[in-house]
Amino acid sequence: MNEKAARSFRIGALVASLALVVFLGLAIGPSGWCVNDWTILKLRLGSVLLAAVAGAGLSVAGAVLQGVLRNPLADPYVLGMSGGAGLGYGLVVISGAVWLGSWVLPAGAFAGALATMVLVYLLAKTGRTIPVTTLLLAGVIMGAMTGAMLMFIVSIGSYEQMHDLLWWMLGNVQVTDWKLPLLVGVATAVGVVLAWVFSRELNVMVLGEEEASFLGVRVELAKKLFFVVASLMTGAVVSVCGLIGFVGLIVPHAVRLAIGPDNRKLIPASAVVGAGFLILANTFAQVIIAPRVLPIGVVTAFLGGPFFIYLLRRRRKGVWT
Amino acid sequence: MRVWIAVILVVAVILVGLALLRGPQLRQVSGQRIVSLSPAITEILFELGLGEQIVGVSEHSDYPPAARQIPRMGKYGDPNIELIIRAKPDLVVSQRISPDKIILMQNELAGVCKFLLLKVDTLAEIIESTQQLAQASGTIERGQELTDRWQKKIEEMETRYAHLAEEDRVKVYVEVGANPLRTCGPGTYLSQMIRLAGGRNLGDAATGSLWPIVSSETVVVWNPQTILVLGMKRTGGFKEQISSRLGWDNIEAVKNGRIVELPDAYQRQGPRLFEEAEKLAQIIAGQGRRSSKGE
Repeated sequence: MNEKAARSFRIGALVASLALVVFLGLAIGPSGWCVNDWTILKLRLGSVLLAAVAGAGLSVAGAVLQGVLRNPLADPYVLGMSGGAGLGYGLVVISGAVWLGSWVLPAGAFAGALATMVLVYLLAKTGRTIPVTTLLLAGVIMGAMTGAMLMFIVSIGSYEQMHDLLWWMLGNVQVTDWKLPLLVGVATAVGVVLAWVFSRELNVMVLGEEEASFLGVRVELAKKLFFVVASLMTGAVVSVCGLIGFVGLIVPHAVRLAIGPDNRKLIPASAVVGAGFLILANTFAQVIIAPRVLPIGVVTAFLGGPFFIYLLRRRRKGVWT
Repeated sequence: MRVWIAVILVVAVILVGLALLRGPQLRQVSGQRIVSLSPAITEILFELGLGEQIVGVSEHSDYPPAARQIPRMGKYGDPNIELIIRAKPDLVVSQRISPDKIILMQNELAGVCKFLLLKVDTLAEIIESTQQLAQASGTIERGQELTDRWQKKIEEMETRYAHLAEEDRVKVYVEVGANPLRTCGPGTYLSQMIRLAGGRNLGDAATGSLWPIVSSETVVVWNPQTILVLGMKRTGGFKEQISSRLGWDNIEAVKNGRIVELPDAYQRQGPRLFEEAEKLAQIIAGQGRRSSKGE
C-alpha cells in the first residue's frame, strides 16, 4: 500500500512539474511576461508544443536505442539519422529549392533520414537477422559518410547558406505554421505509445538476445520494430526541429538514475521529462539574449551537462537507492 | 583491337595533360594589375573607371556585366592565394574577412604586391574605402568626384527627414533570411539607409550582431509597418509565405500588403547603394504616404 502511494506521488509530482514548465513556457517569452494576449500566447503555444513533442520523441528514441543496442552511449543519432537528415536539408538549401514552399526543407531532411534508415538496415542485414554490432557499425559509418557529404555541401555553399545550415544543426523549435508540427506530433505520439506497449519486450532484450528468445520474445522481429519506431520518431523530429543534441542521450540516463532501469516506467517518464526539459531549454534560448535567439542545442548542452554530472556524482555517493 | 583502345586512351590523356599544363591564360592589361576579392570592391573599381585593369575577381562578382568575363580567384572570404599570385597583380584589394585569412594573405603577398584591406560595413566606410582605393590606384580625381556626389546625397537625405520624430518614422523590418529569421542589426548599411529614408529599423534593438537572428514572436510584437525582403533568387510566393506564418496576420505590414522585395543592389556594400537610398524612401513609406508629412 505504501509502495503504491509513493508511486502515485511520484507520478503526480512529474505531471505537476510538467504543467509548471508548460505554464512558464507560455508566460515567458522574448517580449517578456505575458498571460493575457492571445496572439502572443498562440505563438508561444506552438513552440511549447513542438518543444514537448521533440523532447519526448528524442528521449524515447534514445531510451529505446540504448536498450536494443545494449549500449549506454546510444542516442537517437547513433544510427546515422543526423547525417542523413542534414544531407537532405543541405541539398535543399544549396539547390535553392527553399522558396518552393516552407515544406521543402523538412521534406528534404525527412527524406534524407528515411534513406539513411533504409540503407543502414540493408547494410546491417545478415541473412534474415540484423546483429546488433553490425547495426551499430552500419549506423556509425552511414552517419560519418553522410556527415562528410554535408560538410562538402557546407564548404561549397555561400556564407549565408553555411550559417543557416550551422544554425539548423544546433536545432530550433520555431513554429511558422501548424501543419508540420501537428504531423510530427502524431508521428511521435504513435512512436511513444508503441515503445511503451512493447516496453516489456525491451526489458527482456536488455538482458541479452539469447535470454530474450528463451523467454519467448521474437528477438529479430522486436529488434526491427524498435529500430523502425526509433528511426521514424527521430526522423520526424529532426526534419522540423533540426539536430537538437543531448536530450536523447541524457534524459533516459537521468531518468534511469532516478527511477531505475525498468522500461515500463522509463519510457513514459523519459517522454515527460524530455518534453519538460526542451520546453525549459526553449524558453531560455528565447529570452537570454532577447530579442536575439540562441540555438536550442546550445542551451540543452549548458543545462543538461552540469545536471547530468550532478546526478552521476550523487549516485556515486550512494544516495540513490 | 584492345591495343588500339589502349593507345587512343594514352594519347588522349597526354593531350589533356598538355592542355592543362599550358596553365591559365594571363589577362593582358596596360598599367596597374588589380585583383578584387569581393563583389562590392569590384563594383567600386568599375566606378573608378578601373574595369580594364582588373585581372582577377572573387566569385559572384557579376556587376557590372563586364565583371563576369574576368578570371575568378576563389570565393569571397576564401580567396585562392595561388591563383592570385599567378595573375601577377600589382595591387590586391580585399574586404575585411576572417583574421586568419587576412594574415595569410599579408604574409604570402608581402614583397609580391601591394595589399589593401577595406571596411565597407557602413555608407561612410564605403566612401572612405573608395577614397583609399582611388589613392592606391592613382585615380584620385575620379574618386573625389564620386565621393563628393555620394556625400552630398547623404547630407541631402539626412536633412530631409531629420525633423521626423522617432514615433513618426515608418517601422521597418528587414528579412535577410527566413530559416532562421535573420534581420539587419544596428551599424549595418541597411539600418543606416532605412534611417536616411525616414524609417526606423526595428532590428536596431538587437544589439551585438550585424545580422541578428530573432524569434517570430519578436517580429510580431515589433509590428512593422513595412517588411523589406532581402535575398537572392526568391522565386515568387515569398509574400504568401511571409503572410501565412503563424501569428503574422496581426502585423500591420501584412494586413496592408506592405511586403517589398529589395533589388540585388542591396546585397552589395557598393556604389549602387547611393542610388538606391533615394528610392528607398518611397519603398518604405508606400506611394507618397508620410513622405510629405510636415513639409
